[in-house]
Amino acid sequence: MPNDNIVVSLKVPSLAKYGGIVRDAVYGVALRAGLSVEDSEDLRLAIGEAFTNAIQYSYEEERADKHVDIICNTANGQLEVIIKDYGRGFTEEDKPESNKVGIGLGITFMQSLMDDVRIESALGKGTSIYMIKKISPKL
Amino acid sequence: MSLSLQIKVREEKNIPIIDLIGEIDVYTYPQFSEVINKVIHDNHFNIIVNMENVKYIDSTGLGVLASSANKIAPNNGVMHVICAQSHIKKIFIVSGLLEKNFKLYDNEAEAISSVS
Repeated sequence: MPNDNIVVSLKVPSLAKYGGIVRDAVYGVALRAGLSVEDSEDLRLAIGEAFTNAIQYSYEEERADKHVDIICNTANGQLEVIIKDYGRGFTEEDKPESNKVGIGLGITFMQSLMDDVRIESALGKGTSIYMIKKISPKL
Repeated sequence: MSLSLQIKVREEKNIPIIDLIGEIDVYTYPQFSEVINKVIHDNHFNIIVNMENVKYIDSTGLGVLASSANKIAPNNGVMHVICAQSHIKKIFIVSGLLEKNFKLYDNEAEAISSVS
């Protein structure tokens, strides 16, 4: 039933090829949680950008021996997704500029498409990106 | 795993058309970059990129398109993109790329008619 609380955790290797699996999984959760197709597509892109940032910045290169956690949680009429890596992290002073290969759009997409985005990072401990999408009541 | 990107290049009325099927992300963008760079290297400055069958594109894929558009701009080149899906169009709108040398079309006939 839509809007029942859903908690889903994924743990994937810190490799770019897992991006599609992460996006599809979160997209599925979003639909089950009651998000519209349009909002779920927005979430798919935002999650993809967050995962890309984790892959590109957490370590010097892709690492099959490291992992990224993805946690989805619905409560209080919203879906929260957390993308958490355990890499080098950053401080405010050396904050990375969105995607290395992109055109500086990764963070812009996340902020434009989500209702709220928060980034927490600690040097040497990793980075967590928290994203919230409100679940609009269906007519 | 459905993580692949299929790419074909063909020509219609001497206009190169790059057909893309699948997902363009941090994993697959190097393939796309290699193909579009070869098309530009062959002195094509009006390029049609057919994204009718693209399920997903992120900022790395848009980065390839933006970089390619910059390369063809000095020759008055335009990146003609076919995409009918609303969620892909939305990405182009949010990116601001449509303010540059980009044009979007709903289908191939429209794109070819505009270029030729």
